[in-house]
Amino acid sequence: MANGLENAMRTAADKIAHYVQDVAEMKVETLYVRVGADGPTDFCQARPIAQTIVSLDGDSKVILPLREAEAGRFEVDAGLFDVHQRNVTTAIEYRARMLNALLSALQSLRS
Amino acid sequence: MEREPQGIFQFFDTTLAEITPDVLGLWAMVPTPAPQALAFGTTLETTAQPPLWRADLPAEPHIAKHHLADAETRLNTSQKALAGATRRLSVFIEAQRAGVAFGLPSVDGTRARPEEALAVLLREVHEGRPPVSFGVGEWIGGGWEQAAQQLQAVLERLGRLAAYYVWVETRVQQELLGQTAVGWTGDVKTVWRIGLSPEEVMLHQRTLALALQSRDTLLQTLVLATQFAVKLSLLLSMPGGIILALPAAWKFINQVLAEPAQPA
Repeated sequence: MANGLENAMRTAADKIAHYVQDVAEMKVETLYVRVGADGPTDFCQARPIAQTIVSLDGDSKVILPLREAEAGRFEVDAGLFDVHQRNVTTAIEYRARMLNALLSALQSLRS
Repeated sequence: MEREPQGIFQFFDTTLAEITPDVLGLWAMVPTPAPQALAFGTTLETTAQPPLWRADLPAEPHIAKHHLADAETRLNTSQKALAGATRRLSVFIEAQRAGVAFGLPSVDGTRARPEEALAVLLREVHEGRPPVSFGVGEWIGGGWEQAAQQLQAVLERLGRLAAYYVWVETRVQQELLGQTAVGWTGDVKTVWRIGLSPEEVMLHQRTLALALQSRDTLLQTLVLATQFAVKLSLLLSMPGGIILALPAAWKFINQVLAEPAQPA
């Protein structure tokens, strides 16, 4: 049992180390689906609302939700973008916590 | 009649379900893979069935919010208990150094059960000496072996989780509002049912935050167990001490987490 435990620790540490080396970019996507009145929601038909890509080097790319307004102008759909931005905030906070936890785990498992 | 929180918050996972009936006393384990019909196209590819965190809330908004608030409080209590476990382990170790090896410490004048169980487990390890430093499961009592089996399953699960992602979904009376796929690197892909009210959007965002913080707490628990094992191994002073102490540390933390919350 102790040997199995040691192997499990070593394997977990190796996988975490591989993961930590591989986090260069984070992508947040928000999509929507329409719900039919007479059928279940088909989430496979989801369509995009917005996408944000955040790189570790500080670069970021945002694809905004726009809708056509008067005179051919476009305007941001503020409500949808707000929902997306909250997801981005959640993702950034989560990644910071997870990286911190994973690095601690790696340090502990290899101690 | 209100449902119990575990009837509302469920965690679909085939591995962890074998070793624990719930996660943090909050998410009921469902020992089956996440239903395939839920999957939507994602760039977060995986070769294994990912675990699914699901909240199925009641239709009444104020009751749904009440359940989420209650779950957030329970999670917060678990996170505080982890900090408490660190303090209690320090007290335990100080007591061992000051007195007879593996005697029972007193916390606030009362005998605390997690400390008692920890002392028993460490005594099992200590008294089993000196036959061997590894492969000790055969001669150490059932407490250590059971804790070791649980911990090994969690470690193996952790390794798999590092490669894959999880799903989080929110339902109201079984009707899907939103579904999010989350990778370990923070990649997030959410599909919303269109036409949701701001309140319904908030229900899924709170469920998502709850699931991610639960996952985070689970990982912190594991990290803490390894840190505790390092400290306890100094008491054992025997070859392979960290590995031998790890199951005892794991069990200690889980017992502290399972204790009823103390009034503030």
